[in-house]
Order: sequence, then C-alpha cells, then structure tokens
Amino acid sequence: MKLRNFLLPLVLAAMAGTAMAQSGVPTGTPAAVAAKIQLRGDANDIVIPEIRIVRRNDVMVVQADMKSTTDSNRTVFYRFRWLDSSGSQVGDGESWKQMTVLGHQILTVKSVALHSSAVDFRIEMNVETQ
Amino acid sequence: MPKLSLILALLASVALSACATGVQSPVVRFDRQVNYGDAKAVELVTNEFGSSDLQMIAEKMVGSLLETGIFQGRPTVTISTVKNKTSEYIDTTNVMNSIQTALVKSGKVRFTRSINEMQAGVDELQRQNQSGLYKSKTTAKVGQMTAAKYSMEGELTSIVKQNSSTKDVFYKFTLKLFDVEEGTIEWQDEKEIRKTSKR
Amino acid sequence: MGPSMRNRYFSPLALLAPLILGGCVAMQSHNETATMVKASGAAGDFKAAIAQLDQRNPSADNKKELLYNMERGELLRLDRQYGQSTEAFLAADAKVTAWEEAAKTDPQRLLGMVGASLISERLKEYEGQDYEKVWLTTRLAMNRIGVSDFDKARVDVKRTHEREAIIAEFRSKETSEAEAEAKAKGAQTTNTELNGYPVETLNDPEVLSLKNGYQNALSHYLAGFLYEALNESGLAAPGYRKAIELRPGVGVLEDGLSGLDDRTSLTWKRKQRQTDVLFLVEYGTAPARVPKAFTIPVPVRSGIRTVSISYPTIDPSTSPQLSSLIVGDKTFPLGNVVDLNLMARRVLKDEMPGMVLRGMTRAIAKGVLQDELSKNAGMFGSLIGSVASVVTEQADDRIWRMLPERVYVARAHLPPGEHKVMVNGREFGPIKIDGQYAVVPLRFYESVALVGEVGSIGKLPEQEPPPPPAAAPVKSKAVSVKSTKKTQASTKKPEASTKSK
Repeated sequence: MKLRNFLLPLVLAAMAGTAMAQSGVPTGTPAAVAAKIQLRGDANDIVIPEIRIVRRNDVMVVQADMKSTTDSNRTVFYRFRWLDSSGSQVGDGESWKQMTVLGHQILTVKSVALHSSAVDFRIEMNVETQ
Repeated sequence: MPKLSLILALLASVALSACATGVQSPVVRFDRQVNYGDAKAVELVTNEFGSSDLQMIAEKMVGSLLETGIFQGRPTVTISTVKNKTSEYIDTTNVMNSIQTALVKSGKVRFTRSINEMQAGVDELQRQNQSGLYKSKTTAKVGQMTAAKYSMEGELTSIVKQNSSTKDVFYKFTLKLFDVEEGTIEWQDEKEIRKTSKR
Repeated sequence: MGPSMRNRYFSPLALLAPLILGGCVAMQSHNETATMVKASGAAGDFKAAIAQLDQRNPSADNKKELLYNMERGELLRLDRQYGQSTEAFLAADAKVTAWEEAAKTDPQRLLGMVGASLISERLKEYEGQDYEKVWLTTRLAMNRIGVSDFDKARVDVKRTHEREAIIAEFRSKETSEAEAEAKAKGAQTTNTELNGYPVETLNDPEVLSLKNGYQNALSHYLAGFLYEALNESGLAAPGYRKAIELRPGVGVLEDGLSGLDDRTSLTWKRKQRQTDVLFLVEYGTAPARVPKAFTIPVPVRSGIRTVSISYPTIDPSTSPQLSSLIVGDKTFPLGNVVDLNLMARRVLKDEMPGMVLRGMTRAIAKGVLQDELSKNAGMFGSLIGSVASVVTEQADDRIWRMLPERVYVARAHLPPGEHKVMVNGREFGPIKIDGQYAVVPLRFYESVALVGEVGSIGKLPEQEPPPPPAAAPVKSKAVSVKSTKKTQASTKKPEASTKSK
C-alpha cells in the first residue's frame, strides 16, 4: 500500500451564524455540525459550536468541542462512528466514553479513524444531568 | 350443547393466543435473566481495571500511531514487553493484542512474531525441515524470517488512594516505539484514566 | 451453669437429651472430630484418618457438607491421592460458589442469616471462614500443579483473585450494615466485653498487623510463580507485589518481584541450566476453635439469673518457627508467608462483636425460658430447661483443621536431578527435580515429614549443542555459524529468536 503524506484540511465546519438547529440540538450548534451529530434524547444544555476535520497521514482526524451553557455539571456519553465513501460503517465501532463537562466548560474530544477508507463520521451521544 | 363447548374452547384458545403479545425473540431462557450487552458500553461496575479502560487505551494508542505517519512503507514491528506495575491482575498482553489487531487491520504495518509467539514458529519450522515429511520445495526455509524494524514496549502503572468513603484510582498506560537498530524512541504516547468510586 | 453442673445432672437426664436435641448431628463438636482424625493420621496413616472422618459424618447429607469435603480433600492430598482430593475440594468449592453467588446478587440474605442463631451458633450452616474460601482455590491450584495440569491451575489461581474481590466487597457491605444497625440501636458495642475472655489473644499486635482475615501471601506468590512459569510476566508482577503487600519484610517475597525482569528475559532463560524451584514448606495443622463457657447475669421477671454462654477461643501457637532449608551444601532462607493461627484469630476478632451481641440475645431468651419453666413446671421443668440450655449452648467450633498452621516458601536454583532436602534437622527423602520451573510441596504433619508430588513446568534449554541436522540445507548452516560467533547459541531455537530481535 502506498502511503501519501499530505495534509488535507477538509472542512472547517464553523459555518458562520447558521444557527438552524436540528431537532434535539439546541441553538448554538451550527447546522453543518448538527448533521454529524446523532443525539439521543435531550441535549441538556450541551452545544457543539465547532468540529474540526483534517486528513493527516492518510487517516481522518476529528476534533469536536463540547460546550456547556449551564451552571451545573453534565455527563456526556459519546463515541465516533466512521463511515466509508458508500456510507457503510468502518470497523467495529468505538467504545463508548463517559465524560463530565463542568458548568460552562468547553471540552474537546478527539478521535482518529483507524482505517484510511473512512471519509465521513458521526458522533453518537447522549447527555445526562447529574 | 356440544356446539357450545366447541365455541367455548375456541374462545379460550383465542384468549390464550391473545395473551402472547408481540413476536418472540429467538432465545432459549431459563428463569434467571441473562442478556447480551453492548461490548463497547461504558463499564462502571467497580473501579478496577475493566473492559472500557482496555478499549480506550487501545483506541488512543492506535489513533496516535496512525496520525503521526511513522508507518511509512509498511515497516515491521514486534511487541516486546508490557510491564504491569499495578497490584491488580491485569492481563496487559490483552491490551497489546487490541492495539496490534487495530494496527494490523489498518493495513499500515506488518507485525513479526513476538518473543512469546516465537516458540510456536520455531517448532513449525523444525517440523517442516527436520521431520523429513515434506517435499523439500515446499518447506519454509530456516533463516528467512524478517526482523522487526521497530519494537513496541508498554507499561501500565496505577496510583490508588482510598479512604473510608472514596476510592480513587489513576491509571497511566505508556507505550513506546523503539527503532531496534538505532535504539531511539521514535514515538511515544500515554493514556491517563481516572476512576473514582464513592460508597 | 458451669461444666460441673452439667456433669452432675447430665447422666439422669441423658434420655431426655436426644429429645431436646432432636438427634442433631449438627450439634456435634468439630473440635472432637478433628482431634480423633488427627490421632488416626498422626503416624502418616491417612486412610485411617479418612475412615475416622467418614465415621463421624455417616449420612449422605453429611458427606455433602463444606467442612467435611474440605477436611477430606486435605487428607486425600496428604495421602497423595490428588485426583480424589481435587474431587472433594470441588464438592466443597460448589458450596463456596453458591455463597459467592448469594454475596454478589443477594447479600441481604446472607446478612440475615447472622441473626438466625437463637438456639446455637452451631445450627447455622457452615459457610466457611473467609480465608478458607481463598485457601480452597489455592489448594485446588496446588493439586493441579502436582498433576501438571497448568491450564486448570491457572483458572483456579484466577478464581482466587476473583473470590478475594467478592469477599472484600461483601465484608465492606457487612461492616457498613452493622455500623448502621448499631447506630439505629444506640451503639452498644463498647459495653459488650466479656469478663474472663482471653482478649489478649485477639489483640495480639501480630494479629492486628494483618491487612484482613482472608488474603494470604501464599496464594498471591503462587499466582506470581505460576504466571511467571507460563510466560505471563505482566500478571506475575502483581502476584509478587500483592504477596509483599500482605507480608512486608520477607526477603524471599521481595526477591520474587525484584528479580522478575531478569528471570523472564530471553537471554537469561537461554543461559539457564538449572531449575527454578519453589519449595512450599507447610508446618503443623490449623488451630482449633475451643469453646469456652462464660456466665452472664440476665435480668428476668423473678430477678437475675446467670446463664452460661459459650464462645470460641483460639490459643496462640507455641510451635517453633522454621528458618532455613538446606539442599546439599547450600542453605536457602525460608520466608513465612502464611500463619493460619494469626488469620484464624483475626477472623475471630472481626466477628467477635457480632457474636457477643448474638450471645447476649440468646442468653436473655434462655434465661427467660428457664425462669418460666421453673415457675410453671417446678424443679423438674427447670432442670430440663437448664440441660437444654447447656447442651445447646456450645460455641461454634467449626474450622478447617487439616490445613497447615504455617507455610514457608524458599526459592532455589538447582540442577535437575535428585536432591535431599533438610528443614530444621528433618530430612525429606530424595526429591526428583526437573524442568524449567518446579514446585515442591513439603509438609510437617504431626510426627511425619511428607513430600508431595513435584510439579515441573517447561523444559530447560538443551545442554549440549546437537550436531547440525543432516537434512538442513547449506543456507541454514551458514546462519548457525554466524549466530554461534555472535551469541554462542547452541540450538536452533535461539537462532531463530535472535533473528527476530
């Protein structure tokens, strides 16, 4: 397998001001970002203002910011799902992760696709109030 | 009168079948509830080292390795040791297995037999070459194994703090990739995990 | 109601006793059984000892019991009948597994059983001391090692860790439960000390220095050794580490961990021409729980009555410590890794507060009963009451007695072959040692010195380089020349490994 060593920033998803929230995702999450999020249930004041996608050394690297818009703490469960060009899932799926977001905190979650065939992704998540 | 009993019987059977609502799942069950769960779910049973920790470590390490692009030209790698410096019985080779599986599946690297896997390979070579059972053209030649360019060494440590109501465990997994010939560390990363339980 | 009273009234009322007891074998003293069994096996005739044990446990139900199977398994092990011993241990283990299930899923049920001993503690089903549950899987592992079944031994070792975790979880639940109950009832635990009870045996600094009453360093050291022998140093390390935590300051244990990296390195293994031998020297038999009667004044309607209440006591051991093991002209230090006398006293100490409270409750109930009987049925009724009370008031003396009292370990590198081993002036007949690793169980039992089956794991690298195989092509010869120059490797095996490195 040939290895291409290039940096290819694909999309910088922070599309200015399009605050057209998807159902379940509160205002503050841009529509382009919301399309990548599979939220179960209520977002409970967690918004995702930005997702950064880059192709580095032939694999996709994604970072997403999770921002709390409330005073109290939230527990976020999330995982990344990687999709190939036909929209099929790549690999077995990641393990679920648990993360505590303190009030008004912004946390960045990151994941790397474990195969070069991944060209798209979804973030599965749900938010628990504590 | 026989007609009436027939009707009653029919009614009864209808009533009975109506009890079974919905479709039945293809399972055989005894009275105790056993279910398959999500193998990737967050495991929070105790704060000992668990399945989620293993998976998170492997994901982070593999992601980090692939991202750096150190594996150009599909180099060969072998797994050396994984030291367990905790006082928990954690099968650290299992963590390495997960890392190896993901790396092999990525197609970007080739693994050679590790020290522990060597004996089986040597035995097979000896069987082919010394038993006199095989056509000489088909036997694998001795001395043709490819050596690893890199070797991978890992270490798991923990810090445990406990009082009567709270137990805090901090795990740190460190993985290093050495260039065997030059003896240099070509890549290194670590994964930290904190787990706290309250009584 | 002292023992003298019991003697005086017992014979005329002997006919009544069975009625009161209802022919209950459960009331039988295990201390007596164990003493008889020990006497039968003192000279090394364990078949007689097993016959004695069977005679004391005649019914089919008796033979399913935990304690019977533990004692029987140990006697069979002493008699080197490993297959049958394992069977008996597995029967006992099924009971402990049932306990584990309950502890995991329904701890309330087990906690509730504690209160169900109004007549006598002996009527409770014996669920085993915590350290005995741990010993059981350790013993199973040792039996498996003796018959070279290392895969199953590994399973038993792993079960030992899991069992310890369950016990720890359950006991912490029990403690918090007891604390909550004590709080609810206005905490009376400080006033429940017994007059005349040998408290110093329980408050011995050595007893208090134990981390808990169930973990022993032997199980963990053995786990470390087995994992090391099976090439799993990542699991061996915590085994050795836990052993040190449980028994700090024992040199043999510390060497186990500090030398682990060297011993498991490939270079060392290839050079090694001697067997890594683990000697397990077991001494004596586990301590007895001896029931002792104490009288307590109990308030009843007609005033104060004294009622006899029985509590178990454990005498500290007086036997000498072993110090070293001699093989040929070499002396190896023995590290004491388990002392069951200390552990048994620790368990007793931990359960004493609960036992005292239950005893008090029982005393009051019995005092009231005697009072009622003497009032309503006169002197004769009072007598029946007293006798029933004395006969049923026997402390629970059940405890696994055939286990060794103390276990020492020594680790030595010895050339394969037959060796004579001396410990404290006693000789253990020629012991054949072979393989990369070996486990040698030795036991001082009463007056006999016994050698168990030696388990050997793995093979040592061959001594002499074999002649180059005739069938091997020229290429392989060239390689062997090269590698001999570099590393003086002898066999084909290491050559290939060198390549991979």
